[in-house]
Amino acid sequence: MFAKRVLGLSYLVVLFLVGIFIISCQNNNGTDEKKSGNNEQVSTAGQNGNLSASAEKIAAERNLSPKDVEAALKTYIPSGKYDDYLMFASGGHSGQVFVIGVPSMRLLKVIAAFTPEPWQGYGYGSEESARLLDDGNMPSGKKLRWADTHHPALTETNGDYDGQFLFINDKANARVAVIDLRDFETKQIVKTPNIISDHGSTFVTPNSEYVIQASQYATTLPFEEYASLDEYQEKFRGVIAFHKFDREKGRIVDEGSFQIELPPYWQDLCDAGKKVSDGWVFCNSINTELATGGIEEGLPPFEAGVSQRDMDYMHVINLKKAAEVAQQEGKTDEISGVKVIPLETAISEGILYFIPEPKSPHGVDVAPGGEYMVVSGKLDTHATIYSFEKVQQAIQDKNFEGEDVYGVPILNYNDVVAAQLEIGLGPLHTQFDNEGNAYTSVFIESTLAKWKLGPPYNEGDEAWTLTEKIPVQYNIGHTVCAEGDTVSPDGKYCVALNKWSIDRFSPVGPLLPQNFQLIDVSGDKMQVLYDMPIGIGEPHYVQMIKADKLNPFPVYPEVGYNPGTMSVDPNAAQAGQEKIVRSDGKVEVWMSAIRSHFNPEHIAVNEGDEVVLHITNVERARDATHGFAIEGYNVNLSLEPGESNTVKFTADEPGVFPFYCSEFCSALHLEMMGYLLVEPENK
Amino acid sequence: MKTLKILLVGILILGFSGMAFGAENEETAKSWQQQATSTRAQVMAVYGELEQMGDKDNPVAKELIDDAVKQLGEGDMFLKQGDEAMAAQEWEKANYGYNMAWQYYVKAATAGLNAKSILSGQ
Repeated sequence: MFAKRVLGLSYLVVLFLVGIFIISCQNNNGTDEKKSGNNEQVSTAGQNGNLSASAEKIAAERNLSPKDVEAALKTYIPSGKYDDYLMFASGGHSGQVFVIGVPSMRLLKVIAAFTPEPWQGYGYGSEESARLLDDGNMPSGKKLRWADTHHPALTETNGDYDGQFLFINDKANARVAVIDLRDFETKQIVKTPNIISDHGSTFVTPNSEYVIQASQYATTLPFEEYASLDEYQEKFRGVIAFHKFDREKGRIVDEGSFQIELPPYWQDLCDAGKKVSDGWVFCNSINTELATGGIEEGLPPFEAGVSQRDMDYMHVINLKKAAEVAQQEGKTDEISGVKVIPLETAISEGILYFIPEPKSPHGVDVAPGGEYMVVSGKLDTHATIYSFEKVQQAIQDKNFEGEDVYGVPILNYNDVVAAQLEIGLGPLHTQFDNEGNAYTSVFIESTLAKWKLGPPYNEGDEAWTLTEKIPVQYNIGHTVCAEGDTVSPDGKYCVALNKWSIDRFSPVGPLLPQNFQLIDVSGDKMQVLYDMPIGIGEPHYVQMIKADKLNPFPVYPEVGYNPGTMSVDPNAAQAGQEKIVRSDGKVEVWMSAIRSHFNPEHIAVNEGDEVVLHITNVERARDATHGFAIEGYNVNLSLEPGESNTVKFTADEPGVFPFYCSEFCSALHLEMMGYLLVEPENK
Repeated sequence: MKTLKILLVGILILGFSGMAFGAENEETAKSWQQQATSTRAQVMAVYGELEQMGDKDNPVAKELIDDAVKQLGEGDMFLKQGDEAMAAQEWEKANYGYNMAWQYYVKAATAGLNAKSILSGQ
């Protein structure tokens, strides 16, 4: 098949062939073990310690190798026992967030964020969820009902996850959602003014004062203004938004929020400085070529145009200074109601600097102590590590190698690099552990690479060395390690967030699930433990938090609780106070739900009436959730114990419409129903 | 063995960072040409391994190899365009051809490496 092509090879190819063979032999210890494992069933107690005879029999019958058994034992969580960690995974196209236990890799919950979700009654009649979703509409009012969630960010205190809130972005429409981890529900959706596309989002500062969101594909500023692509350099811009987060309110607030105008490069992932670099923010960028595509006109397509240059620019942003400038009179423009620091001000005030970084980078990841920023150029073979101390020195000394076409000073590359480490083909994103190791995903060659950071984490010959690579299946995008982007990573587990699964799971048609592969990193050698298919969307980034940092409500604290306000709703129905109030053209109902009835059960209205239902689940028992679905009216609520919710609709369909509890709540669940009787207006 | 590894790494680095930084001139075109051809060489090295391994009648590996061959073919088409433009001293066009060739070679390498993973039982 390849004979013709192989004939054309030069001596160089032979060199490569031999070289790759050698590298394969050296790096694939895990593979060799697995190969032998596949052919070697569990057969002796010696191999598996005290594995019982019955367990050995099962392993033998299922053709499980000792490695397989070991992996199973490392991931199995008995019924009733909990996982050590929880992952919050972006849900990609689903527009949601997935909550997954580690090491079991059990999907625990899908948190509705940007997209209607029927189980949670999100976007199916509930007033609160309708308001939330509408808050995420376009400024024009156009409804947005899909999202491409990419990067979750847990709130931090002193650089550590605190388990209080979670932010998630929507790449497709430049939005941010705020999720309260007391009830794992979305509380706010912000359509970020001025930008319509983001990728470098969300990230938080070490005490979650700000939620960081950088635009991706450059547009006009604001995006609603029209300009042709011929005016790209002049009129298109990037933006980085700093959303002020009010932890008391649990909301992003306007006061204190601001944006910075950036050149129209495509800003990519960011990370906030921590510890020694607290107060600074680092963002990658691509398309410093200012390519505008046009394959249909014979122009280089974006994929070529955007990767022409050796180097793009890491954006180094003095956030502390920017926050001060944003409050100063005359230093900002107000665009779409938001304070925007103009690019020229950002330059003159010493807010923005550039550092050359290997081409088309993806991750910029700050080391636990804040001393280093690790950049992986996905079309480069290295991880490039920058020293924050050297960056500060270069800024102080005005050690610039020049400026870009917009006048942004460019630090001298050679003077700020701490190390450059050969990683492999297609490095993307890096996480850290508690022993001075870094883990970088390597997309093209489908591996997770482990390497040692330099001082103070490792000294001498150990510093900046690649120690191991493990094959993953296949084409890993991001990776996550336990608390691996905080000031105190845990090690223990990493997960390869693989984009292609190809042959890992039973075929389910041409659209294949993603593959989350759990990797044990606690031993001398990394070991793949488990493949988890993700068949709901394409997750991007994930954060993994120690489970005991989370303290969610078992039930809502009081009966009549409104999850939107996190307080008792003054309109909540209470047990014994159920009623129906009729006025001209309006029927308002205060209804309770308890196993196994609604009260009232009969709601008679006239066609055309406005119907308002305040429904409270008055249960106090954990997991005694009730649904409330009205057939034919596209209504379904989820009422968790104590929760109150409101439904408003116009009774525009005459006839008889049963409503029922859509959660299997008790033995008499089927009997938990009632009737909505809509009398025709012409009767 | 160590020398070979160093050479390999060196060539990889050369292949991925051999581009000039600036105007569309002969030097830039040459560096793009070098990148495209060295990446092609990497692809062919993987193919060499695959040929030695055989497809083992694995349908998934076969599909990946087919895809890799297709991507390689696309890359070769652009490489030829780059060479022709180079000969005609049309530097911008040469850059485009070599850049596109390289893009396709990276995709070919990705598919080939995945096929290799499957065939080697990973």
